Amino acid sequence: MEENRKLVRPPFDEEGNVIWTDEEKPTKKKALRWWVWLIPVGLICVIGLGVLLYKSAHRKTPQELCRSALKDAFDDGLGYREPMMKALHMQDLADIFSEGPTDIGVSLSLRDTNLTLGDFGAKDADRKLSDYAGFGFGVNIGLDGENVGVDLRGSISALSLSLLKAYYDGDTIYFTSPKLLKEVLTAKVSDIPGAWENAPLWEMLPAGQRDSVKGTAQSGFALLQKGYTLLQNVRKALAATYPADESVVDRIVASIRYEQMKDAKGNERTEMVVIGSEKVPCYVFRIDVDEDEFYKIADVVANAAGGAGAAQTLHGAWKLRPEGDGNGVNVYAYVTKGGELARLTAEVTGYALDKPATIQADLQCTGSEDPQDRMYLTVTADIDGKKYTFDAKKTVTASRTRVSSKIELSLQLPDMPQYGANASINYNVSGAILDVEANTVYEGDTVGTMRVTAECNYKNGWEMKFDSLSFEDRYNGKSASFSGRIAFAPTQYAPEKPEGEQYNLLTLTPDQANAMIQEGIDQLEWYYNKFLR
Amino acid sequence: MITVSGISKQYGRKVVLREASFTAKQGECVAIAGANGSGKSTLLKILAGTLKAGGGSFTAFGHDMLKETSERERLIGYVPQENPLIAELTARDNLRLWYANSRYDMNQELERGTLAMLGIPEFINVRVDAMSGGMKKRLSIGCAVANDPPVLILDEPDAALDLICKEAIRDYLAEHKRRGGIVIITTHDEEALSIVDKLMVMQNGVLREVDRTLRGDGLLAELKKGQ
Repeated sequence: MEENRKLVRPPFDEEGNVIWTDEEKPTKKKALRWWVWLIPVGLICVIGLGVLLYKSAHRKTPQELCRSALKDAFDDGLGYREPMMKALHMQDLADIFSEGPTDIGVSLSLRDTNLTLGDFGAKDADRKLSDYAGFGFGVNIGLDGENVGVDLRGSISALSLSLLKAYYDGDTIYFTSPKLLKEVLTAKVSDIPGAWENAPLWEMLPAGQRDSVKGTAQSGFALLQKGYTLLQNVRKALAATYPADESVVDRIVASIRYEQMKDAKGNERTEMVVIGSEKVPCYVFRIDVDEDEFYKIADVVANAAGGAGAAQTLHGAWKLRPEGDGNGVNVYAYVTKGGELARLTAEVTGYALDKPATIQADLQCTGSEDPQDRMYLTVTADIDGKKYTFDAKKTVTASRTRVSSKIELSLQLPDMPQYGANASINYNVSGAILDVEANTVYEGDTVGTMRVTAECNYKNGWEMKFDSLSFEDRYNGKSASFSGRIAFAPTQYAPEKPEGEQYNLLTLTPDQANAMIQEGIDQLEWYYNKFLR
Repeated sequence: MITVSGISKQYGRKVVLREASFTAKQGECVAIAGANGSGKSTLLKILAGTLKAGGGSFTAFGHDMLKETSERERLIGYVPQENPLIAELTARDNLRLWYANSRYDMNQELERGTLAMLGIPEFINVRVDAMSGGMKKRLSIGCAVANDPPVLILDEPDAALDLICKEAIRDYLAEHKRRGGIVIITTHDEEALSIVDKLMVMQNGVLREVDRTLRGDGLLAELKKGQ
């Protein structure tokens, strides 16, 4: 401070103004005016707009893209994998084929030795969500090296076979709905110049490719039949569970996902999700079983469906599966209107990872007028063979006068079973008990416990009473406790039921359901006749 | 030159100030001593424009400070007892708010100007809520003088400060006087009176001038007069 004393401001004059000399006058740097920033920002906007306009003006239509890609492909003597993959943008293809009879997009591409017919139902599922919900029935077959996956989802009462997808030997063969497949394979490809003009696509395929398609389709059809049988079994079991209310069976919207995967260590993993409708609750199973056991479990699930009621509706599905060198992201999302059910599965392969990584998040909520709500959140990550798991479960029980919830959380880290944590929270919104318990685990043993119990009473307002607050650390042998009382100001009474609307999108009559099943069977027949006979 | 004439204030029936008057020339420091609750801070708040006067006038450099608010902002800097700082911000950020429209460059002031003289660079990056009382007071003064007002009004600037802080503030005020500025302070600290040119005593809202050399028992006796 001392050395600064000489560095002072100039004197004041008789008006109270500072008397500046030219040398002393401060040279404060002026801040940039706000409008100065408009220059670069405006420039960027103008350039960006120009680029957009240019691209818009020169953008090929989907039909043009397809036409030129096909031309390149055939001009190249069927060495067309690269040009096809480059030229056929998924969305463009979806645009091309989205006018199929069931509004499910189809893509078409030709790879080295296999036919690729892509499914782009996502776009249509998104666009026509209400129509799609509950009406789709899909089979997803993967025969990709060690991995075998089957994905059945959609409505048991709507065997419209929106999707049949298969992998073979690392290359992808996509089949769409047999109905659409028929449209595509028998279509006249009049846009393709040369010898192929006006020939049905199926006839364009070399014999080897036809066999490949046929072989894959045969496997797919076998699994499809299994899936159909499984769903029928579920229907039968539900019918047995609800003998007095057949409408339950007819109105069921079931999504069954059965996935049998082999991870990097060769372990099989089977995942099954059954989502009921109306009075059928939501069940999630994630177990390691073989295929036979899967059917047993399906029966168990069906029988267990007589539990607490909860409406559930599959509202939409969205998929993304980039093709190419194996790197990519595979995303499945199941969304219900009102957020009752949300499911997201993301599989990441390749890139910087030594082995494929899978990150999967499932969030499932059930809710109905029947006073039981449940929410499950499961996040699993399989990265380089290590599994990370986070589970959260929330259960809400509601009556006309009380809403109570229970939340359970757990976390597991890979290769460290001795570490982990879990917590359980119970609370009654309308004033009963708040109970929180958290445990810490060390070397497989619970070493620390914290527990809070509080009582809330509604007497002309809220009153919260802490009965106990205790902490016990077994590892260090320490413990502490606390008790007290806290009163809260009057507030509104608790809601009678949890927030959130209820949706029952699928209200098919038995006749409608039967018609849809018949449609699916017809499609199966065509499929069988075309490829398997 | 400032002239305070007949400033009064009352809350309901309670009279807080009774026609307080004094003058100060450029280069002078006026100190107001008095017991707690005697009306010192009320008078300073009125002079600073944060409290409305019940009556009287206050002119500075020929301008009516009770009416000409823009001139008041130019001519008067006020450091209240409660530091006018934003606790969640650092000293630098607080200063930025005050120096946004100042003719002085804050960084230059920190390097070799008033802010350096007040020792603010030592804690320039410290949040206000982590500062000592002395730091806060020096920062408050630094903020108040951002526009370099010729009249400085400080309400107990040396309360609960250590000797070094007091000296820094006292040195700054002495320098302000030397430049032709006017300083009005309230204080309980006799050391602060060393720069005083005019000593006033406030008792029950009544302001009167006493001998500026009074210290110790003599000053105490003046403060107790009439009680």
